Amino acid sequence: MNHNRDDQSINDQVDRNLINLVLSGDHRAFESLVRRYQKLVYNVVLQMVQSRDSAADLTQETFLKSYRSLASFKPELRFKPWLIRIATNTALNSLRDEKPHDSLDQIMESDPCFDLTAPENVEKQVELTLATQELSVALAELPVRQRTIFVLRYQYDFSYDDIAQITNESIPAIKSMLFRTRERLRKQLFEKNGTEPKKTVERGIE
Amino acid sequence: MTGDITCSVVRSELDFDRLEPQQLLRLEGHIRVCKECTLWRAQMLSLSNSMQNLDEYDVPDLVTRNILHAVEKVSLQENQIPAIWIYSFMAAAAAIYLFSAHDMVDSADGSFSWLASLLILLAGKFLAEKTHSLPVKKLG
Repeated sequence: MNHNRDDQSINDQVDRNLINLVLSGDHRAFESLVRRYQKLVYNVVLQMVQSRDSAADLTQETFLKSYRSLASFKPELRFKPWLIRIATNTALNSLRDEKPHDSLDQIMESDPCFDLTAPENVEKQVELTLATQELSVALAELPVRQRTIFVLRYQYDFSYDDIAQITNESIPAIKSMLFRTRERLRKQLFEKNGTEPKKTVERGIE
Repeated sequence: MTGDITCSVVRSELDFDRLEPQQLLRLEGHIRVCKECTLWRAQMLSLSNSMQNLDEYDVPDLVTRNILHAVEKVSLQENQIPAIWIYSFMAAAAAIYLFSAHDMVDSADGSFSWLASLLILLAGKFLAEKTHSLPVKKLG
């Protein structure tokens, strides 16, 4: 845990130095920030919008917005959650005007070979690891805000404080939402087919 | 319920990242003697491990290139803004001088000076508008 905090503190310092360089006119320092965080931004946004084309556009938009807002970045904030906040807000705004995500039925329809209960999958139970495809489908069924908070916490290990900064929610609200989401996923993934989960298989996003 | 703590309290608290060591020991104490919570914890660990093992996609090179290109363009435009103001001011001053030097449009010199002034002002307007467009390339 301390090791993680040290890493975080070093990363924050590197970010601050790069931001100072950008603000002093060296726009190439922004390239380093892009390369450090583009994968995170792209994948968080992809989890939200479930479409690679949209995620690509939104990633570009996020970095341009952040570049233009960098002068107003407050030094007491951390860059990573600040950037992810821009990314999630940008994605939420874009989702407002779009059609709802694919439901489980639509995903199954688009990939007829995908069978959660196929015998070869059930027989290959090896360890307590969930089928990635099944988990992805269950995540995609969550409301976007719930999914985003869950992904930030469990896939990217953001702290409650960071998630509060990103979502502008209180820590008790985040705690409660995470609890409900965990229970929903746990019941959906474990209680449906018993407690033994399936082996990891390929994940699919449009 | 086992001991002085309920299963639902354990389940809501265990994930929180600001637990004191004593709180954690209390929760662990409950889990050791509660079969349901032991199973629940194993399932939660599995869920949490699976989340961390979810595939991450690489960012397409084109996206990175577009971001860097757009940032460079914005940066150049921002650097140009003071120069644009200076040019605009010079254009306006030149136009005013020409307008006032030949205020009559009925002579050839007068018409020419009015035309030149209008062209100078239009060029200033074009340059000012060009600096305010944002270069975003749509991929989707």
